[in-house]
Amino acid sequence: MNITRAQTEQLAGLVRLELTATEIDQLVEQLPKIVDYVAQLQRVETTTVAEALPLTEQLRADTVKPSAATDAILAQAPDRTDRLWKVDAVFS
Amino acid sequence: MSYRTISDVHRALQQKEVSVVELVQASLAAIAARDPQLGAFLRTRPQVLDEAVAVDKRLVAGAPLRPLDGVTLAVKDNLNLVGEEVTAASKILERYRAIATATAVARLQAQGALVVGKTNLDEFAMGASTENSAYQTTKNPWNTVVVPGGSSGGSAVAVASGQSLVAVGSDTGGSIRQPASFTNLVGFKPTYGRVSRSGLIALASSLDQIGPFARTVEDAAAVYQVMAGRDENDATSSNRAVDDIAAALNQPVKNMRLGLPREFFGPGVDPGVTAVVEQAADVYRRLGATVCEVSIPHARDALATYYIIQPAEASSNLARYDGIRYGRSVRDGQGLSGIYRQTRDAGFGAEVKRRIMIGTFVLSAGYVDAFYYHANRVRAMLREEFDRVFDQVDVLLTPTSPTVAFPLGARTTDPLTMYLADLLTVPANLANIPAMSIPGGFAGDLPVGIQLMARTWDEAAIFRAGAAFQRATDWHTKSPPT
Repeated sequence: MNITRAQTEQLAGLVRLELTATEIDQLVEQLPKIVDYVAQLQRVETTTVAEALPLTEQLRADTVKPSAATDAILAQAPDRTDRLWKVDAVFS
Repeated sequence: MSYRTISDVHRALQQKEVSVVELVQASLAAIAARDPQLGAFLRTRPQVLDEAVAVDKRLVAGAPLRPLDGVTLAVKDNLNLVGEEVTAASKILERYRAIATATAVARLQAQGALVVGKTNLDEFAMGASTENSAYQTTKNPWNTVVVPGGSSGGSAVAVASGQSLVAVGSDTGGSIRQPASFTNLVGFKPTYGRVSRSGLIALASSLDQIGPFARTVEDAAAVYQVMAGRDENDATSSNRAVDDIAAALNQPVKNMRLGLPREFFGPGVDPGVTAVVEQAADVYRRLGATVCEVSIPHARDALATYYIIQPAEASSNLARYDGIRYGRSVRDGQGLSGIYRQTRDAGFGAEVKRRIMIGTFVLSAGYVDAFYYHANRVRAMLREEFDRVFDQVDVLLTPTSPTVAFPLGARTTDPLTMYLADLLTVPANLANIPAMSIPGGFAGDLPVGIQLMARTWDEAAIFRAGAAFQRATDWHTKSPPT
């Protein structure tokens, strides 16, 4: 399967990676081989319509409980004001 | 380390031959002596000696021995310990400290286990050799020019080289079983849902499980028994009652039905490895089990299925490492998007980047049905095939890995060659069945693990079959050359 340089760069954008030119060169070479390998699966006819999986989740009662350790979390903020985690503007 | 098993340790503690502090000191001394060469540990825990002092006080005061008292434990560094660094062997989690202890580890600690340190792994558990760690290389004590396996290589080496008595790791596509096979240990992956994943840094949420490394099936059972069971903090952990494994350990395997699935043998599997499994089948025959050939028609498609589903889930799970909430953050005044992109590019290694890109590709518009949904349909089919086989047999016997431990650097240039290491282990994760690797023999001078698999929730059958094999053989008593 051909994955072009443009497609690779677009994928890098989707996964939020600032790749170097060398990294892109390597991925342009490696990704198609991996995709070709997993694409072999397409020759398998699946008779099941239902996808996996019977992973039943068992929910707990919807009651309010203390949450995780707020102070421990806030202590790790690279930048904060009071009990607010500072980030760059989302809209600028 | 002079004590090889938990029962040895408990006998010595009961006879006051040794104290818990001395056991921990011996472990730390073994780490100081061996680990500079082997690189199993990313860091040790100096506070473990204080914890040992507290246990000795309890025992002196007459408290009965808990199941894991005196047991030194190495923990893979993708499992959280509250207030302590945890890296998943990645630079992107530099400086991050866990805000709570993983449930499975907390349960082990509550029963006496003492965590001596955190072990090396492939970054975010992506790999089969531990070579993808961003921090250091781990070497196999059986031969230091070959890999220990991965991704839980550090945990395996900690036990195999006598640095800790037992260890825990995680298994998404074989990351406990394959290193166990490469280092002559017991490595066990429970049924998905048996052990809480709360506090395990997620790789693939429908595949990950936590499990033990030990020298004996009995010790693996002791660790598993303490960890297993419903956890409110993990909605995917099962309410189902956990069987008492101790009872299963002593059951004979006479008339147990063993199956050898033909798709796990043949092309791609080393003859030396196959020979070990065939000899193991003979052992089971002598013990009175019936052994027959069975078939899981799509078993060979499991690897492609896995390398669609796992990267897809990983790309979703790793989206949280955005330079905002966890650890490392590259802030250059470049705006929010810049923080994401630069932090992730600087923080993630090459294999991680590859996998999240593959994962995003197979989930993207125009490809998602042919890749991701299709793989999930194949997964459902594979699971049905395993269900049908377990109508005919109780336990499956296969090789764990197609090869023995390969040389360091041998598979790092071509990613696909590394993925092929998982060929025989991924089916159990996809089919949600329990699986174990136990020492089965040697090919050349390197260990070969045999893999036991049973139907969903039937851990007891695996422990029964594994314990019987260890009563009849002594492969598991071999230690690497010092």
